[in-house]
Formats: sequence, structure tokens, C-alpha cells
Amino acid sequence: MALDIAALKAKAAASLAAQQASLGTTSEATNVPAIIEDKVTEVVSTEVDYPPTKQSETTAPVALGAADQIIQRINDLQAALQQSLPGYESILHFIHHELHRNEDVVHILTEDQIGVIVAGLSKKKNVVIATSSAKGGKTPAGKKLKDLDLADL
Amino acid sequence: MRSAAIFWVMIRNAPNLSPGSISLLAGWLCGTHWADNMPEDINKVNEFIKTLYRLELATQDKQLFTQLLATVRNYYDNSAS
Repeated sequence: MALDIAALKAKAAASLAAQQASLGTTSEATNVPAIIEDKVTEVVSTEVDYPPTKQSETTAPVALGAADQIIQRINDLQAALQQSLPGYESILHFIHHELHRNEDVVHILTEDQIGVIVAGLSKKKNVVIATSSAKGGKTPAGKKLKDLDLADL
Repeated sequence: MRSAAIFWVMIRNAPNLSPGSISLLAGWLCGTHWADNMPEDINKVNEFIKTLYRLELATQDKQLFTQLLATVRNYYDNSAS
């Protein structure tokens, strides 16, 4: 901001001198410009934030959608499993319930998020997930895997 | 049908799941892991897989379906024995 401080000082001093002359006072007129200069400098250096930030808009609670709720619960489940916190079963139950209510949400779940659910299930069932592939499993009546069909159930 | 559809999408989204993980998901989604009666659970899983087979999406990828079939069946057969 390009303010002519010298011009302001001169104008303020002249105004003050005129007021003092009309009032008949002779105070320390020489100090006044210095005081005014300080005030002017203070005003110039103050940063004004326009438009002002509305805190209420950034911190107001927002209702989460079904997808956000499920993803948040999956994150909660991950934290509960990592820190051995109680209550992971209820989180699993919530996810189960909400997925059935909003089945479209399953399309946006990532492999990692599904892995967290599986980790919770394995803890619930107290099992260790084997790393072998399905190819090594038994098949009914010695059939090859590719030959299985609905009749084998 | 809804559980089977969810299961199918999960399998497609996470192709690297182990057989055990797939079986756990199947059992979870058809509700068997919250029950105590194991033979009844196996029947539920069988019905679940049959429902999956009826899904149009599943029938388009028979190789994946047969792997799921064997995977889940083996898991629950071994659990029962």
C-alpha cells in the first residue's frame, strides 16, 4: 500500500496546529507528528483478512453418507485390530449390517479395506489364514478344479 | 441374493485374497459365523454358493466361480471334520 506518510504527517500537523490556535493552547506540537507517524505505520502494517474466514463453515459437523460411514468404520476396525482394542466385533457387525443396507458401497471398497475386514474375521474365528492357493485343495471325487460345477455341491 | 452379490464384488475387488480369506468372507456375508450349529452352517454356505452361481456376473466367469466353489467347500468341509 503506497501511502504518502510525509503528506499525512504534514496534513495532521497543520490540522492540529489550527485546532490549537483556535483553542489557544500551546502543547508539545512537535511531538504530535511522531505520534501520528506511529499510528499510521501501525495501520499500514496491519494485515486485514478479507473476506473473513467463517470458522463455523469449516468446523460444522457434516452428516456422513453410507459409504463414508462404512469406510470410517473399516478404519476404526483397523485401529482396533492393531491396538488390540475391544469392540472390534461390534464394528464388524455394523459393517455387515450397513453393507447389506447399502450394497452399492461395496463397489468402492479397495483391496486393503477388504483385507481389514478379513483380518477382523480371522481374529473373530481365531484362525490363521493359509497362504496356499485354491489349486492345492481337494476336489470332490478326484475331479479337476475346472470340471467342478453346480452338481458337485 | 444380496449377500452373494456383495461377496462377488468383494472377490472381484480383491483378487489376491487367499482361499481362507475368501471362505471367511463367504461365511460372514451369509451369516454363518454368527451361528453355532456347524452342519447348518455348511448348508447355508452351499445355498450361498448356489445363489452365487445364479448371478449373471458369476456365470460369466466360470473359472473364478469354480475356484470359489472348491475353495469355500474345502474350507467348510475341513472345518466340520
